[in-house]
Amino acid sequence: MKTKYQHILVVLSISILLSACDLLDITPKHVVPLDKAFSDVESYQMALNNVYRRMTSSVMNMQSTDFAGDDFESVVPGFLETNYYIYNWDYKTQPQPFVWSYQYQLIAQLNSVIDAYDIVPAKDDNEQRSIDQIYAQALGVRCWSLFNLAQLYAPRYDGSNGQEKAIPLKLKLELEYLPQASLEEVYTQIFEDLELAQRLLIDSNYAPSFDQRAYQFGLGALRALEARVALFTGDIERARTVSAHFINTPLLDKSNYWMLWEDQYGTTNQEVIFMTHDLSDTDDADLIDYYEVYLNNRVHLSQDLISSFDADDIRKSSDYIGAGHIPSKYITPINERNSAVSRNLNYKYMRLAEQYLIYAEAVLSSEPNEAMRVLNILKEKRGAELLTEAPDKADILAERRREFFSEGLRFYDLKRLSGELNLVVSRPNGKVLAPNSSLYIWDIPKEEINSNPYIN
Amino acid sequence: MMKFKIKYFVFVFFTICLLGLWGHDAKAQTQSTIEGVVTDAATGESLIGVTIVLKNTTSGVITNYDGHYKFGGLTNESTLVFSYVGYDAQEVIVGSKSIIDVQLKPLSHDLDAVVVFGENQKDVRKLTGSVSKIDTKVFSAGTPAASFDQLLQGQVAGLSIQASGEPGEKSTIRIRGNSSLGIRAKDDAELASANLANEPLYILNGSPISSDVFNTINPDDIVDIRVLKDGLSTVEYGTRGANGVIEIKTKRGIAGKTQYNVRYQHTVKPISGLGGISLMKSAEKLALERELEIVEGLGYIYTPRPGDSEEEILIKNRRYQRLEKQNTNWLKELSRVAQVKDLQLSFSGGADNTRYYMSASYYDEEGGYDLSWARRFTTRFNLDHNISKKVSLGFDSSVGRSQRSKSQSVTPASLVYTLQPYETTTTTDFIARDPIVNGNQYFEDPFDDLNGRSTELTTWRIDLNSKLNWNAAKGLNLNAGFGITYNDGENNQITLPNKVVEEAGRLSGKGAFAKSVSKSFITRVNLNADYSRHFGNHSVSINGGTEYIHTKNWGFGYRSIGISEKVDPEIGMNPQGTITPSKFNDALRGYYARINYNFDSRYNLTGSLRYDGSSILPEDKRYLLAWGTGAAWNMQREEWFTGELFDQFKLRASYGVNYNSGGIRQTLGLPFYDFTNSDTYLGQRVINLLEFWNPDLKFERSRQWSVAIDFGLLQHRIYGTIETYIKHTDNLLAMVDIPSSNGYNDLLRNIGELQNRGFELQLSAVPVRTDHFRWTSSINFAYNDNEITDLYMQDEIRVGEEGYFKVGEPVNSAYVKHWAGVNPVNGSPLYYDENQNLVLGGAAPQMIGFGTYTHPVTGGFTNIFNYHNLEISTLFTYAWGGVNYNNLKARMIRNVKNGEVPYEGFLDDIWLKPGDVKPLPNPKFFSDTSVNSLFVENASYIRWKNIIIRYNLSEHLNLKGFSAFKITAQANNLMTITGYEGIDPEITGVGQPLPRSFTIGIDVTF
Repeated sequence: MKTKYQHILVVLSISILLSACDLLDITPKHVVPLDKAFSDVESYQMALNNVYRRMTSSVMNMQSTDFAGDDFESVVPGFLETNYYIYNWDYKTQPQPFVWSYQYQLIAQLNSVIDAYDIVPAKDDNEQRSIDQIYAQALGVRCWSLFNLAQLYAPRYDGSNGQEKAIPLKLKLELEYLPQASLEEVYTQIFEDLELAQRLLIDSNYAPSFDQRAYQFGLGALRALEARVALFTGDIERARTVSAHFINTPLLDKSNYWMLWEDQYGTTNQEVIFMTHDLSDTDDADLIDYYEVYLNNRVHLSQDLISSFDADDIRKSSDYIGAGHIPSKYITPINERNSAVSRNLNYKYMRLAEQYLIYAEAVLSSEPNEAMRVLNILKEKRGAELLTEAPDKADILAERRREFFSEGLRFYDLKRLSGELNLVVSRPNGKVLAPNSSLYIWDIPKEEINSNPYIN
Repeated sequence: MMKFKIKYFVFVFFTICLLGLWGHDAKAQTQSTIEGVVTDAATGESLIGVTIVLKNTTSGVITNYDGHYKFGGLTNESTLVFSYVGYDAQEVIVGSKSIIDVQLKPLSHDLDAVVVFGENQKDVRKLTGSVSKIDTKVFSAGTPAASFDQLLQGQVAGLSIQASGEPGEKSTIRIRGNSSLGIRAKDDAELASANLANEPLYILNGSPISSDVFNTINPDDIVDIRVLKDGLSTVEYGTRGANGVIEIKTKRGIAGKTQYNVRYQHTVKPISGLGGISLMKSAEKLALERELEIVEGLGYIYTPRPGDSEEEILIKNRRYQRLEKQNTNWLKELSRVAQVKDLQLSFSGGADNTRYYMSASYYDEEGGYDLSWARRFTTRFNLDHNISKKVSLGFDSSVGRSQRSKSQSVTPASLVYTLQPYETTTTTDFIARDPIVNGNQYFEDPFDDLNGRSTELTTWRIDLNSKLNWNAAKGLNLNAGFGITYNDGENNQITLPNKVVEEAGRLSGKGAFAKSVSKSFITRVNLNADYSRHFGNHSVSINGGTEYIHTKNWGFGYRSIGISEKVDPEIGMNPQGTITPSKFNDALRGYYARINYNFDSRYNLTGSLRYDGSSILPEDKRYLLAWGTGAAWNMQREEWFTGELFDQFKLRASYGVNYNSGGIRQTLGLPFYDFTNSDTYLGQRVINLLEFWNPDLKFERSRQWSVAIDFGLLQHRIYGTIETYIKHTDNLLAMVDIPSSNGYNDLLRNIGELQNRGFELQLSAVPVRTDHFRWTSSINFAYNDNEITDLYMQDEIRVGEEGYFKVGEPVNSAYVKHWAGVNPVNGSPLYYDENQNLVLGGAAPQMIGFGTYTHPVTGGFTNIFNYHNLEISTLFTYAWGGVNYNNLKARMIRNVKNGEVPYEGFLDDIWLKPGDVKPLPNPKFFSDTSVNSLFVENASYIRWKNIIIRYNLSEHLNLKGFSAFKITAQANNLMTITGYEGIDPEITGVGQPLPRSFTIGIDVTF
């Protein structure tokens, strides 16, 4: 009997021993906590790469705004109904436009880079400069996203209505329930960040290699964006000063215009300031790209746009406007240089021509002849007839339309100038977008208002 | 056609039956063979391994896994002695009977363990808790089911099962309603996570398994399934038991002469239709295309237009008329009559101190089209041995492989809507194949699409468990268990090269291959002791121990674009692909204890607790305590209880607190970054935040009250349980929307509390029991009322497109736009807003008030008839009170404008010109994808699930040594009565209805 209880004791003590060691301290092996993730510059760069990679996705971009403008006619719902709703200025019917969610997703990834700025250790000055440059690019892209959101989801800012509600100003990664910041707060933040980012790049001697240049949101992109934001917020002085950086860079000759679309790596082509990388040679290629969207929604460019081109204008060539007036900037068609149709997914979001046009518009009231001179440079390079007398705002707007059709800028332009130039957009079904209409402000989607108590 | 088949089938059945009856009568007097079922008198459960001997001899038999025995060579005067450990022995004189059922009375002390080979045969939890046992017959009947979970449908009150029509696809299983916040979702991934949070815990021979493993178990190996429903009985599973527990035990050897069993079943599944839907025929489709001006449609193309020459008009009209006569039934063209083969082999036996059981099975099921199939091979070996009188050990092992395949996202059922009835298999230019304009359909012929993209899943599973039991002192048992499980899963996705796709400029036209390999290794140790003792009228039993479970998961994914067509795609894949490795571990340790006190078998008290620690929770809140208590009162043992009617009348009540991890992952608590993803940008790797984090996550907690009456009536003719419960769950976890300005749309949070209240009735009876005939019947009924009781600080929460939680409402309410009809002026859809004003689609709000997607009432009705050697059993299942969303109809109406084929008669239902008063709008105005009350339909149903006829031929054939030679015939999913107008009231997607099937089989024991 005695031995029996000894046995029992042994068994009990084994089980107590077993329970003593801590068997539950298991740390995840497949992921890395914040401080470890950003423990070197390379990882910091990888986090920024993540942002650029996301920007290559066609659903991430702003092309859907073109459907709200006046460049397209006879849009059908197809399998991408959202574009059709946008075309009818209906931003409520499901599925609602994705722009809000996608831009804020991008901002979240950017904020994870921006938040980590103070964590990343630098071994030497060189590394510190790299860290600064990564941080500056992230700030810049965030400004661009905030600008896009404010353009769509907030009233037009003209310098006097700064107290009106704009968009949630999301500046850090953690979970927040943000009310809408005022227009003034949003644009102040944008300009401050753009200035800070430019200063950091200049101080760190930012000098990207030639083939990387247009893929990074570098000094050129920061300036181009600053000029754009300034123009759209009525800050003419700033628009002029900043765009002046660009107008001495040569545009492509008419005979080389194809390089803008087909030869992004060429040294002659200096027209691209910022574009996304083409991932069509990777597994992610099967995303629906812009061109497929046009086919699905049976998009045709409107007749008044087509007829506004001069006879010899290179921009209306069949390489860019396909049969049935399909916008074709995002495919490379069969021509003397290409034997097969290929997709063109290097979306060019910042172009030199825009800076010429911003400059022209900014100097229009003070130096109309300077405006005409710069505008004529562009016209000449594109094969359009030259102006003989000083242009007015409508001329510049018309030129912007011809230059940037199906590039996501037209709706912003209409919103900016519809009141001043009394622009009316109408649809075949009778719907009308009147000057300064409330339809210029998109409805904040369900994904936000469902759960945000401050916005409804 | 179908009717004919049923008739034919029934005819064959009855011929066999008649032959059987005739044959038997002729021989009735010359042979005296007895058969019957031995059950526990108190519970009605069948007893396995009861010894039946011919009095004063050594000749005897033993009851099998169904509690069934058969004894031949007897005379009318023979006396049989039935004996079993822990029960009073009984003697019966044979007489002229052919069926003798015996109910053995347990010995007086409830808490006395009945230990056979180190395992207590008594379930003390049943004394105070709710533990329902599923009849072994359900698994041994051989109903063809690649996912055996479907067999549980309609068996236990409060266990609701929603089956899927795909071979090998698992069902949705709930115990006592949804106790987590699952959201009905179109998205498979979302649905899977909602399922996970609501799933019960599955325990196979003591080891936890996932629901994916659960549905691949060989049903014939199962001896016992217990469903733990209340708060007390689930306490022993601590932090995992809040959604209820399903315990599965596999067969172990029965001592005695070695028994061999061979069974083969063959099933045929005819091509099923589309349930309540018939597709539009050519004439109507052409007219529809003409009417709606669908530009790709031939009906529009062959419409004469102003300016056409006379010749053109003539040609157009002629072509149109020719097409009208062409009617292709695409479902039939693309489907096949499927076969299911099921072979089982097993043998078991043993001597006094050693028993074994061994089995092997092969199951091969074809789905409704070429690429859809499921196969399963399993083998199992169990061994029990008594080393000495005090020490016994047990070992069980199993190796299994299950495979299944399906076409990726395309089935005939999803393709038939894009193929036109006027197109034929020899058509060369399918309208639906335009890769861009028509929603990503790519094919030269439809079989390309069906067979060009496939998924094949193979899982290997090796399971080894051993246990040691030491009866250390009187009433004291020490048990040690150790088990390992190794899982190896491989998922291959193949997209064959496709010219049409390649020509459309897409890289995937070159073919693509993706493989994911996942492995897991689970180690489990369990040490426990139990002690029981009685003194006078008092008895006590104590059980306590500790358990540690460690899970290691690892694997990798590989994908690449480009396949060489000349070799097997798995070899011919492009070797330059991306690889995603994965690895994660977790662990759980628990301490548990249970004490039972019993007075005079009259009063019973139970207390149970479990203290669990989980590695997925932060260190400071790692341990949680689950506990429960219960009491029972056997009223028939009171002197004043005079109810002659009752053999048993027991009142019991229990209360328990349990937890559920509800999908919490360790990485959800803090920001973690993922370095393993294969994405690159300009040749450099990228890292990203793994997921949005929530540092405040807690496990869900449920507290449950149960009160029940167990009763037995009329000399063990009727057993029943009436039970009610209130289950309150708080800290409910749900993926809820967060403002999308955070860059993430949802986050797992603890958001509220809900309550499930219900009533369950389980009745089993032997309404007729004569000397040669027995009718057994069982019915169960469950009513569950689900209500959200609190949403911390809020009144309502919206989730995604369809999720809506509101205090006072059930979790699964249909949250849809309120359909108001069609505007007769312009044919556009109209909706109501909250104030019953008419509004247009975009402005229409979503509302509740259209029912819930979960049926409050579920149940089943089983009847078994035995007459001599014939057995007929049949099962009905039913569900009542819920709605289903008719996704198919919604899709049809939405996609008509893109050329898809709607249901027959659709043209009559739509608005075409001003003044038309029609139920449906002009399809041109109907592309809103948000959910709509128009498609919410009552999905109550009653289904005639199966009928099984078995006949034992062994006497007729006079085969020596054969104890049973049964032939079986069976029909499944015979008929469904429902008002639902979609594919199937149980199916949510656009897939196929539950297939009707017919089985014949042979089952030999020798």
